[in-house]
Amino acid sequence: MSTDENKDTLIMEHFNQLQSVFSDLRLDKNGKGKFIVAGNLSFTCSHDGKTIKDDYDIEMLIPDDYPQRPPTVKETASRIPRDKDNHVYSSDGTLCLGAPLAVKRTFAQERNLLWFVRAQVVCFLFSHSFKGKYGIMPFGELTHGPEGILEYYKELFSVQDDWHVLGLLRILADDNYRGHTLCPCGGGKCLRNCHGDILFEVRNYQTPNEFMKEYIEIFDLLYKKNKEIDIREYIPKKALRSIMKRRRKAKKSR
Amino acid sequence: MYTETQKQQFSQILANIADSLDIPESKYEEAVVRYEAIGKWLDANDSKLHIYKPIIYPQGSFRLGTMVKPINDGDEYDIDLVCHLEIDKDNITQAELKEMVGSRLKENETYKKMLEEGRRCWTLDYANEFHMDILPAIPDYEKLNDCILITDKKLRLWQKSNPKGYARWFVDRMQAVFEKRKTALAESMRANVEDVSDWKVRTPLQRSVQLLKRHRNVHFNDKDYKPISIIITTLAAHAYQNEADLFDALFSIINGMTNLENIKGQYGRYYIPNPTNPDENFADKWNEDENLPKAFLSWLDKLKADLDAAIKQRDLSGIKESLAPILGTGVVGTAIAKLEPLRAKSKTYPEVTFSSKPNKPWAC
Repeated sequence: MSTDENKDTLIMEHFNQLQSVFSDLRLDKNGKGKFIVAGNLSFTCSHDGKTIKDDYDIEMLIPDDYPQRPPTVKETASRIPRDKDNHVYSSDGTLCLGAPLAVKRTFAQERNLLWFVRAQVVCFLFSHSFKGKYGIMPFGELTHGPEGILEYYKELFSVQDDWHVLGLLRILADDNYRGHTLCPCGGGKCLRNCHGDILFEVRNYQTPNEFMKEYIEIFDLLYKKNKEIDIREYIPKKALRSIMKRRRKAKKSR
Repeated sequence: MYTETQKQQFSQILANIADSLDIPESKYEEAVVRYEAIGKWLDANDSKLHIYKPIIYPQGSFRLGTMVKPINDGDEYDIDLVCHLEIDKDNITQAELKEMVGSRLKENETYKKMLEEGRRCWTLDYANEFHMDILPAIPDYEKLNDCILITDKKLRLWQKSNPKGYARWFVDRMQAVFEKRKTALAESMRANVEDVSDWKVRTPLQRSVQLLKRHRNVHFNDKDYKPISIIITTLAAHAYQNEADLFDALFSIINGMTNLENIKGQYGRYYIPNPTNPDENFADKWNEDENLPKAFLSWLDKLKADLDAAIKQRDLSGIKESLAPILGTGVVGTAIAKLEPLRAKSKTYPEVTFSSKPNKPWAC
């Protein structure tokens, strides 16, 4: 069997498992020959003693490197307005199920469609229904943009200080983990006895470049707030080069 | 590309379509009553035929369970019957046999008004119900085993036939599934298997033949070189591998039928023998006119493409739209309507629980 056939079989298996619970979804191929799962997704969920029974028309695109990466999801009946406040990319209608790393990390717990839909897609749609009915997001929400990513990392690393987040993220962006060095969280322990485990875990889900991109966005955000900071103290070497380049460009265009 | 569930649903739709193509049970029972009455009339004590022990029995699609509703709603079902008389062929001519049966039928005032003579048979026309084709026949003593000799106005020699033998062969081709279905049906009816009439059982082979014939009727409605039913039925029965699922069966049958290796005999001549009589070649005419096999193959290609397109449809209305033009709006509509309430009822809202800390939505 070729790898392609293996992959097709895997997707079929995962889909059959998904469909045994969510029966009104079907597997199909889109115009570009990519696998999609589309149809009606119905669910019953309870939160805080309040139960919601609802259904949405959705379309999930299964990426070429599935199950390395999770699918992306769109709501197809235009029930959810396409804007940031509703956590939908306005350009193509993809739902922002969470911070990029959060989506990958949750998916990595069980790399299959059923788990993805139960843990992430239904959760998102339920939140939308819940907010429509009761006015609040049942599980909270992140601010959009880099600010939201920063919020996510603070929660993930359980740290309060913005710059401590950057310190940890720098290790991931530089792909430069050294267990014996002092943990940048300020706790005074060496890395392997502090944030070592979580860093080790999450570096499986994103590439250093992806961490770098997030790092730079957060850095720019913090720098705007506090220009007094000595940036060399926080910046990974690779990032420094990239930030300086962007600055020069920005100056020129001004 | 389709899933197991899509396939199951499609099989169900095809089965529903075949179901509405079939002669309804009430009509079937009525037909049996009618032909048994004809049998009684022919065998009455004052009948000249009485001494020849006339027996009427069904043949063709009515016997095989592969009947197909006519394309136009007003048209009647064709029911083929054999009228069997115990006479030695040396003691009677074809014309005499035909005449004997015809004149007895004409002695009945009701039948007289309905009677028409055909090339091989007498036809009783029950208006708005069915045509009953009654084929006078005598036993073929040279062959025995239910072989019969039949009359033909245009041919000098007695024509050979064996409808009972053919039916036995056809049932044999689907024996495994047939027995299973019959047992299941008996269980669902809480009846003994022996008490369930064979007629109530429909296997994927019978369903497939009905669908093939229906598609042919629509496809050749405005075209020449329509393939004859006996060729379709015979090739389908050969190709059938006792698949339990209708969709699987239909596809393997179509693929098997398209394989010309099975149809080409010696010297590249088309040869589709009657399974009960290898001397009879159903494809005789194909060797006289190349357009016949060509039309047959291009029809099967079209059927395959049509089914391929239909199963890929995303929803019931898509399936409906793609099947209606090739199998008929009426039957397809009924078949799908049967499915819709089932689906509406079965709409479920599965319960989903989340971890203590689900992801918070974000936006870039």
